[in-house]
Amino acid sequence: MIKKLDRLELKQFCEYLEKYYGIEEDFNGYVLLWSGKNKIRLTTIETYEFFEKMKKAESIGIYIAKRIGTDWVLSIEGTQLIGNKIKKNFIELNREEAEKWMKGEPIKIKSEIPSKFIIGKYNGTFLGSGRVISNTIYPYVSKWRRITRTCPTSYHS
Amino acid sequence: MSYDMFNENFLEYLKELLGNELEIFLENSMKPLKESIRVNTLKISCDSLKNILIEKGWKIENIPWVDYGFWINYSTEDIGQTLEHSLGYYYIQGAMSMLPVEILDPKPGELILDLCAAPGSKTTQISQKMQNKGIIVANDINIKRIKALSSNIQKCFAINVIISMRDGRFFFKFFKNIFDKVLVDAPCSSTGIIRKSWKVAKKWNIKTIERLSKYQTQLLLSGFDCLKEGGILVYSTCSICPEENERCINNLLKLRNNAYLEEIKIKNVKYEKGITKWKNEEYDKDISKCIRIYPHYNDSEGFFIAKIVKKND
Repeated sequence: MIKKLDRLELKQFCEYLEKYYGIEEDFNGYVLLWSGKNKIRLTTIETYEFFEKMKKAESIGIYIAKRIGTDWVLSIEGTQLIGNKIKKNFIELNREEAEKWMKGEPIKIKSEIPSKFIIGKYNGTFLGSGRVISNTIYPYVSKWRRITRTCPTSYHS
Repeated sequence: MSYDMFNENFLEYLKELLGNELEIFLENSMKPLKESIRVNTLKISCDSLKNILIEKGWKIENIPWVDYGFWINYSTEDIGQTLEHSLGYYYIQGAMSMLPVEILDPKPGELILDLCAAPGSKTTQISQKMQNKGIIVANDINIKRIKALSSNIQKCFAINVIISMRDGRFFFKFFKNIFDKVLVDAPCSSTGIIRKSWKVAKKWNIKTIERLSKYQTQLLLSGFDCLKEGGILVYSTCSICPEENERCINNLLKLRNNAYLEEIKIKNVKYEKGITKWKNEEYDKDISKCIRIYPHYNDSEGFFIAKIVKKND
């Protein structure tokens, strides 16, 4: 079931992003939609207007955030959409760590992070969110998009 | 050279279709297909990605018919298992498979239907051409393929897409005369991509081709009926069999008197005109405006493409 966020829900979501990540974003020009109870999808206004006219459709736009308990966790595309507005609760990774992140492997960190969730960043690109437990980050990367193996050099004709 | 992977009936068929080009076609079919990628310009610019890949030691080459497509001549890792691929910076797509969308020429603000959309190569390509402005309805009938479509739309950041799961043959019943552009990249026998899977050559049979031909005609008619007046439809397959291509277009021209073929203008691609005679069938002369691309012409997949405009009734 896909349903538009009402004003209050949108306000609460924006307030959470501001409080937790320092993001000031009102999603002007976009429509935010509930996809199930806990996921938020994003699309354009005109796409949503057409979607409403269709009697039957499977899905619309892209998934940008999901609710875990009382928290909101941003997806990879969610962080990429508003990444340049993120002011806190993100961590700069090196290439090796970024690859581990996209494999869904835990990443050990030296200093403790006080928050429950953190956003990964590598070379200016945002990699979505991870769960922090003591000195380890457990990245949220869907199985279907994880880097699953590394192959040796390949030649092509 | 032995061509054991081609069944005899298919060899006979190819001989009739290709004449003295048969040997070069068969030779080419033994070679692996060159790997190619499409830069997802919704996430990164061509120059930026090019620099990243070159820095990693990859050897890449521009595909002459799309300015955001590259052949990978050498890579330091599996191109489907890189950080950049996982982030959606590029999409692995056949070089010639990028051509139908170039011919469709989607523009920001348009309303576009991709009737047989999964797994989403062309849907996401359309979205990047539209810069996420306008609307795409991406339809497919198969739930498993819809999942792949959904994943690719997500990864490519195509926010202006609505996914629909209907039988494309009856799509016109719900959305008649409304789309600016329609892409019918029809399911086919894949005889243009034998280099990808030799099974195609081994299992080929005329009954399947005949069955596909009927299905493709129904999809084409449905897609055409969804177009508004003045709208453009591109029909494509990765098959070289005339029954799946010219015959379907001929059926459309016979059944819809407001369907007209447009000349396809493309640069840097070697192709042949659509054929107007096959076995005992004669097709409309305008079908020569379609293009057929054999795999050995551009060292790529084989494709058939037609561009159709819907005029006033």
